[in-house]
Amino acid sequence: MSVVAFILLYGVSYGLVLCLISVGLVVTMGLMRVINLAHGAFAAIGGYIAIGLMTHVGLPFAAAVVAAVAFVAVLSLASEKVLFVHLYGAPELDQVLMTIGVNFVVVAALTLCFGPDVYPIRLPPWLSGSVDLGFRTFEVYRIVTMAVCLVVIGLLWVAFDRTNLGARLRAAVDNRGMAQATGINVPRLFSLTFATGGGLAALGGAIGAPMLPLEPTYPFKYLVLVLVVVALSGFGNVRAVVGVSIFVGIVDTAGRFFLPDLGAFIIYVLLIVLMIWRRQGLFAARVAT
Amino acid sequence: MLEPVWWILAVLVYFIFPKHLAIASSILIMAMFAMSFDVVLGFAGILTLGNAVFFGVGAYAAAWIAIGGWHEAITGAFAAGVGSALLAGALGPFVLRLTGLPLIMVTLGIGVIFYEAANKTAWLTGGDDGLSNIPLAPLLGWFRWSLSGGTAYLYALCWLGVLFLLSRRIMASPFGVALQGIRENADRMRLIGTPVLRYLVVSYVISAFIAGAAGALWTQTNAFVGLGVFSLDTALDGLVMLALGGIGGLYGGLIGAPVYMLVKHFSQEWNPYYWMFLIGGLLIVVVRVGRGGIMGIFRRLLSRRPVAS
Amino acid sequence: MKKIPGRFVAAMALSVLAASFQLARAEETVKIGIVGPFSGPFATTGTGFRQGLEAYIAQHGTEIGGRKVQLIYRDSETGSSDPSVAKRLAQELVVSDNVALLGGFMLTPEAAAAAPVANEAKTPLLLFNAATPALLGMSPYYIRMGQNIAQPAELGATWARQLGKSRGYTATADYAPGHIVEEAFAAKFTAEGGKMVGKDRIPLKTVDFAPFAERIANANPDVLEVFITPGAPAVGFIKALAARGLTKKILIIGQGEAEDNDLHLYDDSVIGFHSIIYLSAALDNPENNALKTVLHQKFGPGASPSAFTIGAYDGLHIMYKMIESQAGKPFDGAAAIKAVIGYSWKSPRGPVTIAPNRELVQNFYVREVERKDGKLQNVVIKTFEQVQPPASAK
Repeated sequence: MSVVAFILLYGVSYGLVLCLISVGLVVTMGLMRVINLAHGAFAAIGGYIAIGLMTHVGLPFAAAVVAAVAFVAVLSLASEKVLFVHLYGAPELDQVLMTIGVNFVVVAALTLCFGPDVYPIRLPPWLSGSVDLGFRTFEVYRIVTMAVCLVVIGLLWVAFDRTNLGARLRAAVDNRGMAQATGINVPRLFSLTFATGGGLAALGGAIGAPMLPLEPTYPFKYLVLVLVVVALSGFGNVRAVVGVSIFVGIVDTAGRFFLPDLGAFIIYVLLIVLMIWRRQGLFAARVAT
Repeated sequence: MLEPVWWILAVLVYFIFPKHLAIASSILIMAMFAMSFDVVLGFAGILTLGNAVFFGVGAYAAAWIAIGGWHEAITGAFAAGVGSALLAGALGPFVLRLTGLPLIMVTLGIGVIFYEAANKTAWLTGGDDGLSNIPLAPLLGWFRWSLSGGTAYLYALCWLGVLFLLSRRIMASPFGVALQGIRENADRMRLIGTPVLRYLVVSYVISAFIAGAAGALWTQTNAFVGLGVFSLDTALDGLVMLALGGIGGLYGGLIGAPVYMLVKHFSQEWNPYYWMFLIGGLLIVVVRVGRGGIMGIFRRLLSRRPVAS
Repeated sequence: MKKIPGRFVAAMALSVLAASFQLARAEETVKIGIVGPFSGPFATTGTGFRQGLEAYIAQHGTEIGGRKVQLIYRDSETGSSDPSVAKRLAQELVVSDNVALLGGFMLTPEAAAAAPVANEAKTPLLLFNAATPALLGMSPYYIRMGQNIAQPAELGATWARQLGKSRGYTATADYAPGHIVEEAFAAKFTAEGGKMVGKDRIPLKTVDFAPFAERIANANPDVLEVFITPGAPAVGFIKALAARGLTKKILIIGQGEAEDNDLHLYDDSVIGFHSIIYLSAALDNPENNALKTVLHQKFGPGASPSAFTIGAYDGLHIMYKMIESQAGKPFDGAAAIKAVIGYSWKSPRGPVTIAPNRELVQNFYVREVERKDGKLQNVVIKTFEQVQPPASAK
């Protein structure tokens, strides 16, 4: 019983952070058809800035996170206009290469600014320590993280499903040409989406920092995990991302718990099998090819 | 045309830089690895991040062959290449049904699995320590593997030359042209009756042979093989080298490899992180100005006509 | 024709003779090649090497045995997981720069790859820190300046039994040195009457250690031997153990996970962590104090003798001894090695002797992390004196 509790609690909290980081990429890939291997860079930059502000400037954690998210959102917007706009409609190879190049530059910049070691985090007192849930203890920090993720994802879901903006986004993902023909300003939608995706990744990187430690090679390290979530969700399928992330989080945690020797393998074997069997993702995607 | 220049330069290096032949051999081998990418990516359009698997399999196969008692280098490398090719033949029919991101993911996944498997089976691969002190008989019974690396360099150069010529022959054949057609528009090729999957698998197998032979040379010239041959870094290195040099045309890897490795080597002296900036920046620029890479820039300068990218 | 005065000729001859003596002396330079990670994720190791070497030179100068010593540094780019770079560098140093001695080679695969070079060129190579037992068997020119990784593991088991611990668990990084620690600890622990209740091999790329902490908690051991790569993995692992309440319940013994240089990466969850290793920055002996003084003078108050600093410092000392033993004759690698077998000296880490199998006989210290004077430090709580190295390389 306690094993199940452990796997659920830890797997879900891990998965929700992954969800925040990946959802931006899912939408970007669905909407703009850009394979952005540098998405993890936004998460890394967000994390570093948040922790940096907290440690060196003394900002309270919440304020630091908000500031970091705002900064990265603006950065995403700028980079979209300068770099990524050239990748729309480009061959996949070009997208892969350019975004790998961006990754290199970001890793080099992070190393120069913050050094090659892991960036130490000192959680504020209200986030440290554990709480006794009766059947086991659980870190306060993970509870808070889960709550924040759920709230944010909930808002996203509502925005995606219930607002005009969401409807326009869904239309553009399904059939860009038609959407544009009906007067939807698709380029502006792209920029907005990209900025939001980047900001969400930054949020994930910032509050996920104690779980996913910040190092300069962060963009490369978590690239594969994020791509796993994206590939299994299917492009543009925002609703699926939550379920898939939690699934990946649980499988990874359970794998490491029961078969620590093979923990790393399991998620990749799963990925390969699923990709070959259902390449559109676990939940049939609504994307027009 | 200008083609023989590269090969003449390569031979001259042996005489001009006799004390730096170790890094020169590494460059040749990485050039071969990048060339294997060109076959599968530049011609057939298969976006794979997994060629390190074939490089690694070739590398370890060559080690096992030598440790197992067969010390002849040339046949050892050939056999290792065949081993990788067989693996590609087995994986290809499944993997090559995919395109785009799923293909990238699966090839990445296979790469990671091989890396972890190699790590786990330390009794077979030496694990993290690798396999060292690999015994090789003198080349062709006569040329000793000297400390200065001269024999190794010429050996690698010969292999590179032979495989290059073979690849060119194949890519110029109707088969090669069909591959390019598949790259451009697979559906249309299917409509005119081309067995697309079969052709893709064949190109994958050829690419794997080249990568496997490169891996074998790596082991033979270093008398050592470690887990790094399977790492994602190696795969990305090959791809980046090819991109820098220019994709398609087979020379891309041959130009990109020296550029990449020398930039890395020299920029490490002034600042260890600058090389990542440089390479990242170069990549971005290369993609922006078109896929031709360095080769493309040369071509444009030489023909003095604006070429649509 | 004017006669050239004899005095003039004599003076000329004398000055030419004197000049040629100077020239002859100045040309006798011994070059030493140092291969280490001076950039990338392991740059702190390279810095340690350099600081140890420069500290030694500051104290002893660059001349020994009638020769001038010149160090040549080469970056092994260890972070790129390509040990063949180290081999290539060793080759170039020997062939192109004509070094007489080699030192450094942080990781075992690098040292393993370089063995054929040392063997063929007959060049002594001092391993400043590499700890895998099998390395010394790969070349008769290798001398170990660090430790044999099995030793602290065995001492950990002995000490735990001395304290009455009976349920043992090992959590080691999943690569060769980790496997050796796992086996050595388990063998010694059971040989002395304890019982092993579990063992885990933690994949090198792990970032989330919560599942491992959970497994350990479920097995309920009273002593845990760890061997995790220092830096992000070690920090993450200890935090996970603390979050599960294990740092208060179990005796946790490690090696280099919480060195003084790294303690700033931790929070208070690391207090109480024990480690067994062959040196301690806090040792109060004349050599260590002198070394610390020189380090502070040259590199600032934050510089502290780490395993890498001391490995390099002692390594250069042995190299000087080797050069001295070959004074007046051409440098012979094999003879130089023979000359230092059995040599004993007082190092900053305590008294050390080079054993016939080229391992070291040295002290091992049990340290505990405490908060003293407002900061985290390792404090020595027990010393194992002059521990004999394992008999033969495994």
